[in-house]
Amino acid sequence: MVADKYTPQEIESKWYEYWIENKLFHSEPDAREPYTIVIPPPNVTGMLHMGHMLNNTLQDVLMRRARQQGKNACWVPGTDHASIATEAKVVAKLKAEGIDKASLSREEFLAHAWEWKEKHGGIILQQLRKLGASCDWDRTCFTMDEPRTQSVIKVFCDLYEKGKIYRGVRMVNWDPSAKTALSDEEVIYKESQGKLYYLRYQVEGSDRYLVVATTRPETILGDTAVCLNPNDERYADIPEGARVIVPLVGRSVPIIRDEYVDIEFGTGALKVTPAHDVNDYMLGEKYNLETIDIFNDDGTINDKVGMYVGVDRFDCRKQIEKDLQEAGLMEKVEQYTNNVGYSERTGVAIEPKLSMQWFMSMAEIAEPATKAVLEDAIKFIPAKYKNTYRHWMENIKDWCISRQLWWGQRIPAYYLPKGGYVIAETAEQALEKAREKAQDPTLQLSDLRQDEDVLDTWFSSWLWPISVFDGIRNPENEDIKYYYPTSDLITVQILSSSG
Amino acid sequence: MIMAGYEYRGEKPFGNVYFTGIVRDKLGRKMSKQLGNSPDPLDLIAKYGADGMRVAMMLSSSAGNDVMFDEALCEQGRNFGNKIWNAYRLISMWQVDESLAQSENNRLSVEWFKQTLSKAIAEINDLFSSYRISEAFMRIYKLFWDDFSGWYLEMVKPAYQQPTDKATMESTKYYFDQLMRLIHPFMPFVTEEIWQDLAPRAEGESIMYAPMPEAEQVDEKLLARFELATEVITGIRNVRKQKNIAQKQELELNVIADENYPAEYAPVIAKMCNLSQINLIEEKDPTADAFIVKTTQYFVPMGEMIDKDAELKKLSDELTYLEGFLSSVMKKLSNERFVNSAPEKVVANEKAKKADAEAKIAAIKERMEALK
Repeated sequence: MVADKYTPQEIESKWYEYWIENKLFHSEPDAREPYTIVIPPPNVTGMLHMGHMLNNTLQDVLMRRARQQGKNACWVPGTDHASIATEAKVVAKLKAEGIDKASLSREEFLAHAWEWKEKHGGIILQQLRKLGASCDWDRTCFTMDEPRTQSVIKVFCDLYEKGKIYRGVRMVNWDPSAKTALSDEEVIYKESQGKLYYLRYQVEGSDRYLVVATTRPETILGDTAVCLNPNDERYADIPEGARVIVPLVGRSVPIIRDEYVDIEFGTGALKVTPAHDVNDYMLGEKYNLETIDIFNDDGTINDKVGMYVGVDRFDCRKQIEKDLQEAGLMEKVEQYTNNVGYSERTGVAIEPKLSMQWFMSMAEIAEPATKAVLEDAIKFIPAKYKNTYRHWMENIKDWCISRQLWWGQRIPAYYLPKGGYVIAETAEQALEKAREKAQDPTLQLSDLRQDEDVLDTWFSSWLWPISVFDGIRNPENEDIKYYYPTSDLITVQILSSSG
Repeated sequence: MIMAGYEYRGEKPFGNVYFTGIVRDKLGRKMSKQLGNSPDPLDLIAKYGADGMRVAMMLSSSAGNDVMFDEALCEQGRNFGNKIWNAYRLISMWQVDESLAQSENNRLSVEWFKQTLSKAIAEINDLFSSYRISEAFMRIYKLFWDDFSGWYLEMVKPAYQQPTDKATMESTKYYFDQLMRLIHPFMPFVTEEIWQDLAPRAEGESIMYAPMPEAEQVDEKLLARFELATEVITGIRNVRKQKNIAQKQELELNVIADENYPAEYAPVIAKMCNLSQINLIEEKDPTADAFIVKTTQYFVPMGEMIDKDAELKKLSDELTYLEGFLSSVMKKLSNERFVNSAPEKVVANEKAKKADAEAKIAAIKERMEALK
């Protein structure tokens, strides 16, 4: 006989314990038809919110129904290490304790981070138990545990071998607060009120000035050319090979002519700063211009030019405006609204910055994935999200996968003392390859320097449905053969970067 | 994930992707700490139970669209748990007399619920197969709350301090078991508690592995006939309500039976409405309260139970209204332009209204005459 009154609190913990004790959520491959869901891994340091409630209730409903339909139901739980978010939290916690991250070695910092993860991480999985989630807890995974880390490294090496991962200097979205590069998906564009400054560049050897409009006068420190449209008759009199003087800086730079410049915008004359603007960077590549990176990683001016050294980029803008006015090099200033990118995580304005990063080529790898959805091999419910997906996949650019952080899988690139690098799954293998590459059998591990950066968390989560069954390291194991492909993925409506 | 699937397994990582909406508050605002409209789910679970919380999610969600959450839904969830609990307590208290033969009423009720359950299961399966999970829950909710609790249990409930028969008790428990299995994915805890109590279970046994009930061939004709009976029951309940006659007081029912009279359900109608008898009559009974279900006319004799003057007053008010209504319909129908240019269906509809009003007026006049 049940109790007189319905008291959920009394029965719920009792039955959850009973289910766990009797291992009723546990699944092993057998003769039954499998029904598999892998949890879209929540952030390890996160807390349960209402979105999780909805998402996980739906997953549990499907799991329990499958079990009652006689299927071998397996729901794999886990969390992801959320590289940038977690590192930011640990840095903040250390700061509160009076410890500066810069004063710690990588190993010391990681020890703090792991300690923090053990303490706060996985609270979210404990919370899911309260909801009644029938996850196979014996299979709990973490994107940074050993099997998952080894899978990530193995895939990195494999894609590198296949030529799908490359290293290069590219314009990236730089977050001067977190001091790391971000992927395009981590940048949010907002309309911002700013100014358009009209600057005077004197044509060398004459008293003629070119007036150039810019929203970022502080970047004149990095100007290495001025560009005109060859069809712009206003500038037809300027001789071929003429140069201009960058205001305040006094640097002589070439005038280049390219139809890329919009005759209608501003004065039709464009300053070219290859180090700090994506389009300028492309012009720089085309005309072989010098690139002068004027910023430190925290967004202050560096000592390359010897002016405004150590001044923050926004203070520098104000100061330069004043100095240009005083030098009579400012034609005028107008109010101007433009789109500025901000870091999703730290909220600061993104600085386009040239840096050496690792990239993954996407076009080829995206092709079968796009086709699968458009041809309904993978069904989207509701189907309207197919369009969003297609748009995202068709516009996908090469993915910047390196992050200037410590919390994550360290990139398995090892630099040789005399230049060049090797990619290997382990340090031992790296040494072997390095000796071969350098033709120097005396090379020691201590001679090699491993890349300081870690991989974007996405590089872990995109492998999740395979890596939770250890299908990357052991592609023929019983689990992966039995549970893969999984049945359903339950996710929030916005297509995340783990697409 | 899809890209990695094809790159490393040469195969998709999952068959279906179900997109949930974003959870918003009841005013449609996004939940955020600043707005303070983002409840802590653990507090809600502590207050309403996980089962209540899960029901709230089902009541507020639909695939891909934003989800409006209101704490009242958690309460509704807990109330559903309470409803299940109390229904189970009710049947647990019934006494069984093994020597008692199953009454026709009980036999009919058991047979009807079997069909109702089967039909619901088929619909639920259908909804699940198209991932309409909230709708599947709503169907189960209705099955338990309306069909099982509201109808079936009322139909088979033994009279006060009277026992029930063994067959009915067994069927009722069987249905309860089936319903718990259906509800389990949504409310795992309360269903486990009750399922464990329904019969002795071995250690380690759980409703989690109790096979999901399967749909059988549904006798649609039987369900349609029962539907008529429920309308008759509703008709008599309306009479009681309008005339303020307590359920305790027995009534009689007179029927001019035709093919739409569900005669086989007479025992159910009699029990549900506390009727002393159901008489088949040939002629209209103008003194009785009358109603029609489909084509069948039903009469509830009032005898001394009503206030004659008040009844006359009510009838005359109704008559005035109906006559006004009739004249407006007549006006339309006498308008040649309307009759000639309106779609056939519309005209036919107006004509039906006219016939209906005329019949009602005649009945009221008859009734008033009889009362005088």
